[in-house]
Amino acid sequence: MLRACRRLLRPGGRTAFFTITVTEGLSPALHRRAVLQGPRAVASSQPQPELLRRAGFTDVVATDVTDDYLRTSEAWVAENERYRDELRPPDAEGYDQRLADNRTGVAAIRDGLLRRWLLVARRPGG
Amino acid sequence: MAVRDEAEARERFDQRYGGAVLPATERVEQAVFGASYGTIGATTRAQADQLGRVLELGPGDRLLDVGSGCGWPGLYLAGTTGCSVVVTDLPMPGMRRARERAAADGLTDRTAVVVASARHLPFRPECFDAIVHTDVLC
Repeated sequence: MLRACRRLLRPGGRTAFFTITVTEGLSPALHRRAVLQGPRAVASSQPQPELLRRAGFTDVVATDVTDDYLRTSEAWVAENERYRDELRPPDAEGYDQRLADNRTGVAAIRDGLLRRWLLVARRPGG
Repeated sequence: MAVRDEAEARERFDQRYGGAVLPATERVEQAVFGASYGTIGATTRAQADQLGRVLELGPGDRLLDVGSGCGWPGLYLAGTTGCSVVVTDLPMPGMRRARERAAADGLTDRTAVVVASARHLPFRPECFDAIVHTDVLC
C-alpha cells in the first residue's frame, strides 16, 4: 500500500498517517497479549519508518502519539458505558464484544504493549 | 492485508456503518473526538488538524483519504483547508454516508467518493498532492 501511495503522489507530495504497532522488545508472552488485545491487524505491523524508506519515501518523521491514544481510548470506553442503555442495540452481541475488546485494548495501551504513531513522509522530487 | 482479512473487515464494517447513527453516538463522538462522522477510529479533531498542517493542505490541493470509513478525516480536511478530496473504502454503507455528509457540508464540488480497496487504488500515477490514512495499516 505504501508503494501504491508513492506512485499516486506527485513528486514532492506528502503522506501522513496514523498507525498502531506492538511495542518493540516485548517478551513473547507480552507480544502475544498485545496482538490479542490490539486492533485486528496489529500483528502484521512492522517498523513503519523503514517500510516508508523502502517504498521510496524520504524525509520520514515518526512521532509517538501513544499518550493521546490512551486518553482517547479511555474516553471512548467511559462515554460508551455512560450511554450504554441508549447505544446498546436489541441484538447486542456485537456491541458488547466491541466494548469488551476496547476495555482490554485500553489495558494493553496502559501497560505499554501498544503504541500509536504519526508518520509523515515525502515523495522525492518536485 | 490478505484478501480473506479484507473480506472479513468489509463484512464487519458493513454491519457497523449500516446501522443508524444514534443521537448518543454523536454525543460520544463529540465528547471523545471533537467531531462526529458516525464512526471515528482513534483520530481526534486536533489530530486531523495536525494532518492538515503537516501536509500543508490548502485550496487547489488534491487529497486522497484511503480507508476513510464514513469520510473521516478526509471530508473534514476538505472543509477546513479548502482542498479537494477523494475518499475511498470498501464498505458501501460507509461510502454512502460519506457522500451524504459531503452534500450536507456543501463539499460535493470538491469531493469524490470511490469504493476501492487500499490494495488496488484505481487512480493514475502522480495525481494527488497528499495522501492520508488513519489506522489502516494496523
